[in-house]
Amino acid sequence: MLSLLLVAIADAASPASSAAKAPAAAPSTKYSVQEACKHTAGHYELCVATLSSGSKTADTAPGLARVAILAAQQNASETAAFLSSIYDDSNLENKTAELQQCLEDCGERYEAAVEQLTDATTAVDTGAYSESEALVAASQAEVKLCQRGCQAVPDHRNVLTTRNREVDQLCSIALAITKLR
Amino acid sequence: METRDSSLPYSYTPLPAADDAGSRNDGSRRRRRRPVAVAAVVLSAALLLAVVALSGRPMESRTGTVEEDATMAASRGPDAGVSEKTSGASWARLGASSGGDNAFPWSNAMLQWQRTGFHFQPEKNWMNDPNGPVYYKGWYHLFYQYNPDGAIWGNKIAWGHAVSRDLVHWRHLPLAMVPDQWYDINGVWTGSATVLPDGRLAMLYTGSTNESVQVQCLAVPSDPNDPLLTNWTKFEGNPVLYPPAAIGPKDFRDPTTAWYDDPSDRTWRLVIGSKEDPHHAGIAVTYKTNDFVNYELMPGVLHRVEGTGMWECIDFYPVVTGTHGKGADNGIDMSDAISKNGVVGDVVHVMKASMDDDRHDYYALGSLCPGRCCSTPRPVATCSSGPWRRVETLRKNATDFSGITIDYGSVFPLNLHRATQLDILAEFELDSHAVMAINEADVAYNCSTSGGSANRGALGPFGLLVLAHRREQTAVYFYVAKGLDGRLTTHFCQDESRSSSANDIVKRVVGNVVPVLRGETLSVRVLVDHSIVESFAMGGRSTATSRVYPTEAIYANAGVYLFNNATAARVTAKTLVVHEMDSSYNQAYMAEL
Repeated sequence: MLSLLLVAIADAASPASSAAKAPAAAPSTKYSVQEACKHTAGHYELCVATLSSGSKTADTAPGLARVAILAAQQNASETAAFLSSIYDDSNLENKTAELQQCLEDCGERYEAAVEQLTDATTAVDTGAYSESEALVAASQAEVKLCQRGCQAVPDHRNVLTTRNREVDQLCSIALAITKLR
Repeated sequence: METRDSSLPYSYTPLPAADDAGSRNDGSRRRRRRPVAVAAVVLSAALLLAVVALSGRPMESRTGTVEEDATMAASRGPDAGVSEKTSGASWARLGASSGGDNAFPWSNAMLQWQRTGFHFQPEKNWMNDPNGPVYYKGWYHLFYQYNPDGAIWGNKIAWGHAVSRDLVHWRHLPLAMVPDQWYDINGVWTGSATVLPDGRLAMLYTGSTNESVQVQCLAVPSDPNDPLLTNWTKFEGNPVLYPPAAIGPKDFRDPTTAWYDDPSDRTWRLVIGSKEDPHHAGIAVTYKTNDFVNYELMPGVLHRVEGTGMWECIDFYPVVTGTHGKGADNGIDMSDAISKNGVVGDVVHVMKASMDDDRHDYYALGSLCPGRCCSTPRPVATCSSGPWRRVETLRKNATDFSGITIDYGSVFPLNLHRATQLDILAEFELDSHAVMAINEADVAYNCSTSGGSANRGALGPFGLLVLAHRREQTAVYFYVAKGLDGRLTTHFCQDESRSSSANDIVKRVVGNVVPVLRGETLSVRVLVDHSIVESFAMGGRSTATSRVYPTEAIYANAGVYLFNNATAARVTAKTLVVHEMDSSYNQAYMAEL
C-alpha cells in the first residue's frame, strides 16, 4: 500500500482510470463454486468449503459473493460476542491493562465490521457492487487494525489471531468474487 | 414605509416564465447545451431500466442516481439573479461526456459516509448561507438558507434553524421562515439579526418577490420569551425596503446586522451590497433607521471597487489592535467600537464581501468615519479564524508523532485508531543544508496550476495526506521555492485532484503564497471530517477548505500519511500531534423538550 501511495504521489497527473463504470449491460455469468474459487488466490480450499456450505442456489458471482460476505459477517459476529464475554470475564488470567485495551478496541472494530458486512450484503442485493466492495474492504481494514493493535501488546497470547485471520480471508474471498461480475 | 425615489416605478416587469414548477431549463446560457444533455441522460435512464427489466434485479438505488443526474443539471441561481449555488460539478459532468459515462454509482448509503461528524449539516438536503447568527437568552442560534425540496439550490429557499449551548452540539428546530408571502414567495433569502439594547430582536432579510425583485423585510420572534425562537412573525408592512433608483431589482440583498452609529440620536445603520455600472463596480450602501421600518439611504457608498461585480453577504465589523481593554480577547461590538466605549488601542474595520463573479470571499481593512470608510481599504488574503477552544472539547485523545524525519520521496503512515475525524497539528522544518545548497528552484510555482502533490520540486511538496487509501488521497502541503537572490517563497496548497475515484465531482488544487518570517517553522493545523478537509497554515495566514468525496478511503481504510515528495531535501516534523475527534451528535427536532 505504501508503494501504491508513492506511485500515486510520483505520478504526473494522470486521468483517474479507476472510476467505476456504469453497470454492465449483459446479465451475470454463471459460475460454479469451483470456478469462482479459482480466482481467490491462495484461499481455494477455504473458499470451496465456505461457498459449498452456503446457499446451494447461488450460481452467479454476486450470489456467491453474498455467501462469502455472510460467512465473514457471521464469523465477525461470533468474534464480537466472544470479545464482549471475555472483556468482563476474569477467564483470562492476569489481563494486563494493555491487553484489556486491545480487546476493547477490537470489540469496537468487530462491531463496526459486522455492521459494514451487513450493509455489504444489502449492497450486493441492490446491485451496488462498488459499494459492497468498499464496505467489505473497510471491514477487512477494521480486522487488520485490530490485529495490529493487539500484536503490539507483549502478552497478547494470540487470543484473536486465528479469528482475525479467518475473517480477513473470508473478506478477501468475497472481494475476489465480487470483482468477477 | 419605504423611502424611495418617487421616480421608481411601483411594480416591476414580470420575468418570463421563471416560476414554473419543475422547470429547471431556465437560463439562456444553458439553453444550448441542455437539450442534448437531457436527452442523453434520459436515454441512458431508459437503457438502464431496460437492462433492469431483463436481468430482473431490483435497481432502486441506480434509478435514484440517474434521476438525480437530471435534476442536478441546473440550479436556479443566476436565473434568480444570485450567484451560482453549485460546485460546478454538473458542468464537469455534462461537458465532459454525454449521458452517464462519467457518473459514479453513488447511492444514498455512500453519501451517508460523507456526512460530517462534527461540522453542522441539516439532516438532509441543500444548505447555503448562514443567516442571522445570534446569541439570545442563553442559546446560540444558527439559521441558514435551506431547500426543503432537494439537494440543490431552488426556488423555495427557506430559513433552516438550529440551536446550541456551546457552538459545538446542535439541536435541529423546525424551519423558522418559509416563502409564504408575495414579497418572499420566490425565496426567503439571507439576512441578519440585530439585538436592540432592551434585548429585543429584529431580523432583516431579503425576500425575492413574486416578480423576483429583491426587497428587504422585517421579522420578529413570535414569542420573545421563547429562548429557542422557534416561531417568527413577519412584519405586516413588509417589505420595508425596495431597491433604490440607482440599483437594479436583482442587485439588492443580504442586509447586515445594524449598529448604533450615535446612541444619542438612536439611529441605526446597516449595509447592503450591490453593484453599479459603468465599470461593473461592487458597492456597499448604507441605510439609516430609527425603527427598522423606515429607512433613509445615505448618500454615496461606504466602499466601492471597480470590476468586481455584485457583492453578496457583506460583513462589516471592527477589530481591536490593542492587547488589553475591551475587545482584545473576545471581539468587539460595533457600537462600542464607534463610541470608543472602553476600547484600548486602535480600532480597524473589516469589510468582507462575497464576490458573485468568482465566488470567492474578500476582506478589506479600513477605518470608519461617521457615514463612510476613511482610508483606502486594501484587500487582505485572510483573517485568522477558528473557534478553537470550543472545537477542542471534542478531542478524544492525542497521538504524538513529533520528531520524525522523512527522507525525500517517502511516505510515512501514521497509525491511528480512526482517521475520519481528526484535529492535526504539525510543524515542519526543511533540512537547512539542502536549502542552502540549492541555487534556484521553482520560482514560477503556483498551487492551482501545479498539478498538485505529484509534481516534485527540489524543496517541495511535503506535508500530509489525509483520507488516504491506495489511489485516493487529499494532500495538504507546503512547497518552498527559492529565488536567485536566495529568498524563499513558501506556498501552501491543498490538492483534491486525487481525493476520490469518482469523476463527476470537482477536484482542484487550491492555495497561495503564505508569508513566513525568518526563524518560523512551517506550521499547519488540519481538521478532517469525512468529506471536509480544513487547513490553517501559519496560524491562519493562509487557509483552505475542501469538500472531498472518497469512495475507498472510508471507515478504517481512511489513513493519514506524512509525505515528502521533494527531490533534494529531508523534512522533519518537529511537531506532529493527531487528535481523534468525537462527533457532535446533533439532535433531531423534538416537539417537546
